[in-house]
Parts: sequence; structure tokens; C-alpha cells
Amino acid sequence: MKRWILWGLIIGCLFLVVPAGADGQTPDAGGQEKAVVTVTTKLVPDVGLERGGKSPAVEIFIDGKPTGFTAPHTFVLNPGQRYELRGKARGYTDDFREISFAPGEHNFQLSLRLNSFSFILYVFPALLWGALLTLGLTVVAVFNGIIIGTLVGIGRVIKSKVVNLIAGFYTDFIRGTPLLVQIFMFHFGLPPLLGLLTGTDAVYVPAIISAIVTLSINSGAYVAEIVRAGIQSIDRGQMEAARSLGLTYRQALRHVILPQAFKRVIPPLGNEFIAMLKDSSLVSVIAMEELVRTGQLLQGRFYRSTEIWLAVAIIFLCMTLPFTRLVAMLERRMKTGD
Amino acid sequence: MKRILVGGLILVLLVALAAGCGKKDAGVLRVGTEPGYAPMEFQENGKIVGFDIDLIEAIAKEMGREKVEFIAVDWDGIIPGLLNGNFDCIISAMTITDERKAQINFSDPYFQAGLLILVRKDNTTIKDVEDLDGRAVGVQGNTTADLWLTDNMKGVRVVRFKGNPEAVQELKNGGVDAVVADNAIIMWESVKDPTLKVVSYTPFTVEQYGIGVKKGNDQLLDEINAALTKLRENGKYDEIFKKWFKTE
Repeated sequence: MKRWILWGLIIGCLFLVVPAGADGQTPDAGGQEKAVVTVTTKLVPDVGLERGGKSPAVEIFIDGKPTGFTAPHTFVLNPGQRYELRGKARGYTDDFREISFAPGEHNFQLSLRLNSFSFILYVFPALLWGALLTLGLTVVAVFNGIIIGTLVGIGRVIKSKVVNLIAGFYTDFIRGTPLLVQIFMFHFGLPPLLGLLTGTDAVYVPAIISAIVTLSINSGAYVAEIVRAGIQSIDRGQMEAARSLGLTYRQALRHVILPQAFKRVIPPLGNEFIAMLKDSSLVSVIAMEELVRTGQLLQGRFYRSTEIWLAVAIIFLCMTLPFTRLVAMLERRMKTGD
Repeated sequence: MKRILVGGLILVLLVALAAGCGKKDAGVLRVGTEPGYAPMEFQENGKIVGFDIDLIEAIAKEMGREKVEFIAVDWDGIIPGLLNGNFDCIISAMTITDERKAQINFSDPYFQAGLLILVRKDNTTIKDVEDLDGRAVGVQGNTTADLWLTDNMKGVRVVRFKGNPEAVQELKNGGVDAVVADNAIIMWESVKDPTLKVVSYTPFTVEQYGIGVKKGNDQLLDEINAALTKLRENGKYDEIFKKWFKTE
């Protein structure tokens, strides 16, 4: 019922205002000129915080006192006074204006910005999806990287010139070129080449495959170096002792050297995981919307860098901190077995 | 010892700061641009060239500036870069939008543009914007193409690249069914590459490019607007336009 009265008032006021605008004269009621103020609002961004996805109502305050009206609203000002007009809405920062009496029709648009907390809550789901992709890519890449890296790492120390050469070339090439270049080479450079080889047009490789393959190959090279260093850090006497006990080279490597090397490579592998978590943001160049790219796209949309990058940093920390703890724990566990 | 170290550090910072401040030269107009958007701005023989580049150089000359210094930036960092004061203005085929206007000020519109669709030559199914529904469309992230498709075409899988050249390469490789971008850019790509074609030459949006200036820097904005008006009057603007778009 109240709403109908309100609407009646609004429409009534509009009727008062419209003819005034038309003939350029202010209505003269009882010998006094009127100031008719129309307040409209804009919510930036309007995300529908109220139940049912509705936009919250903007309450109008004048000089700090609630008027009981919600925008849009039209009202008549008393002459000779200055007012502070303020709009308040749940989840938004207030917008306020100084208005003073002047005869005629005035329009004010209050624009209310989502407050920082609500904004972070609003962008959080999108960022979490990005984080999920980042985490997924990293886990898969490092897992593959450990498999590739272990094989290549062993390949660098065993007594075979050919295997040494191939493994060495692989690690040199991957470690000697930027990950960004490798991603470009694989995703954009490979399809035309494949097309040329198969005699068709470009053979498309989906971005997710390109991302997983390049990150895995890249991680593999770094893990290979970690594994090689781990193996070479085991005292030469261990191998000599194992061999003199009658074990073959392969047996000695498998049962004596590698178990000891494994313990030593745990901390650097943890570092590799964290490095990959951060480096994986480079796949954004092939339109993979992982955490950093999601942040960039949101920033371009809302221009609220402080909140977005704070949220991104917190999400990264939430991923890396538990992991560093896990690695530290694993390290302690392994030590007790020494 | 520690005190000397801290003192030394502060000194170094101060010197760096002073050097940074001293660099600002009144005769130089520093312009931020993303040179991956031919023919508006792109790299050729190691130099940034294009319609926007010629225009801003003419504007700077009209303003009496001795030199224009171009600073190439990522599209995602172009507005933050202006806000941080890394350059004085942006000319980068930037459409004037309400969201951007909330962050920076724009000069008078200097170019009318609109979105077009680029597909591979063998494509016969995409004839209209509506046909993009349910397809993968490559765009440059945070351009009007991205924003328009995201807001108005819920059925489109928008694939957001950092730059437009990557989106076009993805189209050629078959990763996306179409690329949406501003008309001048799409036409340029279709002329350059015979394996690609434009769906329709009538843009499905109407957009205006503006030169971006930091809020509060009204003096520069006025100077740019005055120079722009002058160039339109004395025919210089048409000259530059003809140089880059003579086929139209």
C-alpha cells in the first residue's frame, strides 16, 4: 500500500517537473519558487546482493538523517538551505553530495561502488575457478615432470654416451629457452608444421593439451637436474661398496643410490612445485584463464586492482603455504630414517 | 655498520627518485600504446607505426611538442599505466565506454569503429553475429569485442587472448571458429591473409575511439581536443586517414 502512495508521489512530482522543463519556467506555488530534486542511483557494479539476486535499495539520507525514501525519488527542497544528500545501500560504499537550494529542476545521480569486502566476495568464485586450473595444471605438470625428470636424470649419469647426449641436449634446450617461447612454439608453431607433415591444413592442438605438454616437458628438465644432482651428491664410496659386494651397476643404482638420492631431492622438488605454480601463469598467452589471467581480466573489467591482486595473492599463499609445510614434514620424516 | 648500510640504501633510493623525477621533460609527449593492432598501431621494421601513431604525432606537432615518445604496453596494463603516470596519454584504438570513462577522461572521438567477424575462407556456416552462438570465438581480452560477446552472447565460448595476433593465429590453426575485433583490424587481416575472410562488412556495433588522459589533467585534454579540431579543419586528419584507409 505504502509503495503505491510512493509511486503516486513520484509520478505526481514528475508531472510538476515536466511542464516546468518544457516552458523553461519554474512552477510558482504560493508565491514561492521550488527546487525539485530527483535522485537516481547507479550501483557499480550492480551484482544483486539482496536475496533473489535483486539490487539492494538505496536509502536516501539528508544531513545524516534517514528520510525513509529509497531512490529513485523526487522531492521538493525547502528554500535557503544546504543539504548533504547521502545514498546508502548494503554492501556498497556511501555516496554523498552537497546540494543547495536553487529554484528549478535538479537531477542527481548517486553512484555507489561495491565496498572492498563485497567486491572481493563477488570476484572470489571466478578467481577460485582460475586457481583450480592453476593447481590442476601444476599438479599434472610436476607429476609428469617427476617421471620424465627421473628418467632423464638417470640418463645423464649412466654410462652410455648416446643416452647422456640425448638427455643433455633435452635439459640444455629446455633450461636454455624461456618457458614462454616453448609455449608459443608448441601451441602456435606446431600446428602448421604438423599440417605440412600430414599434407593437410593446420592440425590443431587444443590449448589445454599444449599447456599440459609444455609445462610437463619444462618441469621434466628442471627435475632431471635435481635428480642428477641428487644422484651425484651420494658419496662415490657407496657405489664402489655396492659393486664390490657383487651388485651389478643397475642393481646398485636401484637399491643403494636412488633410495638415498630420493631423500635429498625432496626439498628441491618442493621448490620446483612452487615455482611451477607461479610459472604456470604463462599459459595465459594461449588463452588459458588461470588465476593470474582471471585477475587481469577482472581488473580490466572493474579497474579495482587493489582488491583483485590482494585476493589473488591470498589464494596463491593458500596454495603454497600448506604445501611448504607438507614438504617440511616429509623432510623431517625422512630424516628419522637416516 | 648497519646504520651506514641503511643510510647508503636511503641515499641510493633518493638518487634514483630524483633521477626519475628529473626525467620528465615538458617538450616530450609520452604516449602509451599497445602495438598489436594493425593498422591502428603495429610494429614494422622495429618501429611503431599506424593510423593512431601518425595522428598523435600530428597532434603533438600542433600542440608544439618537440617529440613524441611511444611506450609499448600490454593492453591489460594500459589504463593502470596511465593512472600510474608512466605516460601522459593513451592512443591505442580505445573505444570510449562508460566503464573506462569512470577511470580516465577521453578526448573528443577521433575515429568511428565497430565490430566485425573474421573466419577462415572455407567457413560457410557463419553468416551473421547470431551464428556465433555455441561456437568458440577468439578475442583480445578486455577489448570491446570481449565485453560485448560476454555480455550479449551467453552461448558463445569466448577465448580471451592477450593480443589480437594470437587470436588470429589460433583461428588459422583451427582452435577457434571466428575472431571478433574492430572493423579496421579485421579488414587488414583479411587483406593480408588470403586464407581468411570477413563475414560482413557492416559492423554490428557502433563505437568511438578516444585518446585517454588521466583525470584531472584537463590542460592536456583541452590541448589535444584543440589540436584534433585543427587537424580536422586543415585537412591533415583526412590526409592521415587516406594514407591508411585508401581502399574504402
